[in-house]
Amino acid sequence: MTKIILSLIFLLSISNVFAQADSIPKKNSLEFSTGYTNGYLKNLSFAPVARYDYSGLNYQLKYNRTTKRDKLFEVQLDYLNTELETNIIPEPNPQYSKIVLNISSLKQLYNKERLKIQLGLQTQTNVSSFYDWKQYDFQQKLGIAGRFTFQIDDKQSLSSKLTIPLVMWRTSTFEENFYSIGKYKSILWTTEYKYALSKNLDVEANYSFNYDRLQISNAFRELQHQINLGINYKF
Amino acid sequence: MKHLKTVAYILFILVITSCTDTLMGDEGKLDEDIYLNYQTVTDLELPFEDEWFVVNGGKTHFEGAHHFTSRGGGERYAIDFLIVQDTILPDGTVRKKNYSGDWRQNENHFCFGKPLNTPGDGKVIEVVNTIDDNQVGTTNNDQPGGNYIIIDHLNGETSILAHLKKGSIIVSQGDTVVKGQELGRAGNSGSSDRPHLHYQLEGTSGQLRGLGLPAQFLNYYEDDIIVERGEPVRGQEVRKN
Repeated sequence: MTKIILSLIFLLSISNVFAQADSIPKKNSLEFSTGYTNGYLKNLSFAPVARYDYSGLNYQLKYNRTTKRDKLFEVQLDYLNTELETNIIPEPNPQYSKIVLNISSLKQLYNKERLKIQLGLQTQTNVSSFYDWKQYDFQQKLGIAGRFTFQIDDKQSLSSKLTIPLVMWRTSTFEENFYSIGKYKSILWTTEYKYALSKNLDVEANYSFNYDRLQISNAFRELQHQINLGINYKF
Repeated sequence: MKHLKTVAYILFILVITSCTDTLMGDEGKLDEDIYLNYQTVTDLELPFEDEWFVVNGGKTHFEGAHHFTSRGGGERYAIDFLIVQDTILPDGTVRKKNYSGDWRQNENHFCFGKPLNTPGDGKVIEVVNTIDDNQVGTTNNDQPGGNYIIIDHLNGETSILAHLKKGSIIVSQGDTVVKGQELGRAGNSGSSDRPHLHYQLEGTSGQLRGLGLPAQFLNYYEDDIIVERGEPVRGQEVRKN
């Protein structure tokens, strides 16, 4: 009975929100996505393996806010829990999990007809765990980010965001160091397609490509492809 | 049309795969080669008399423990040894213990003060002999090696014996040493929280310079089984033949 009442309250609140004036653009959005990650890791401090492979389900939670001055503020949290695979070392696959928090603030540079361009800064906090936190790798990155959004029609849009981290501070089981663009190269590119189901709900499909490279003797490289499907609630 | 889709799919996979190989690079192939194929050049023998227990040693994350994730320090294949004895506990069970009496006293640990020998012929290139031994349970991370000896085997490999007892080292920099010659005594100095011997083999030239190497010892017993050439692994009891 309680469940039914709660469901009715939820539906009423949703319909109430839907009944609001359609002309007011929504300033906030909350999105949940899930998808599949396929990645490769080289971490010579961790193991003498030129390339570990990993894959698995990932989960993504994203909050966007557009301010009165058309600044776009984005917070995105990603979680992945998987295993590192190699046939070099005869041991059970090491557990590997990643929590990634991206925070960006983008200023609108161009907005004409159907194209919108925003540019700003992004920080990325990347925490990786090996063997259920027996070993860890914490990376804090800061870089520039740009987003291009193209409105195909009233219901569909395409968007692409490119982030280039410029500096990284790393503290881990393996080392603690600060790196800048000379030794550190990274790129994060996300492209997404959105379809509006209603004024408040979108569905979305996105692809992300993430590459990190540290040119040090204990080489570190990570490459990740991610495909997600999600639902976006605007309010 | 159907074939076109298949060809497009294959091309897509090929592009993604070749990009992946390029972006991931070749670094680490040498590490893999060392891991899988390295054959120790020096004729090594275990650097002690009596039977010692392998606390950390081997080529997995579990066996090698913290050493396995220390490529930069050359410690990847390092081995920690100490001495254990079967001890009857109050409940009647038998357990291997590395001390008797008060565990906080270095002297109560079976390996403390035991003689250590050079594992292979060579020349002593570095000696530190003045670092205080730690109280058990504490470490001196400012001088991680504590009292240590580095022996250049003059063949591209060096041996490092670390955490020795203060003032116990009886060889000096520049000395030529022969396999089995006494060097000093086991201790608890440096980044060591209990008496033990840390042994590592390291490369000295070319691409191997500074890299930890697997140490294969000759002619010894592993858990009472004779081994002609082998790498001690965590949990084994080893002694010279």
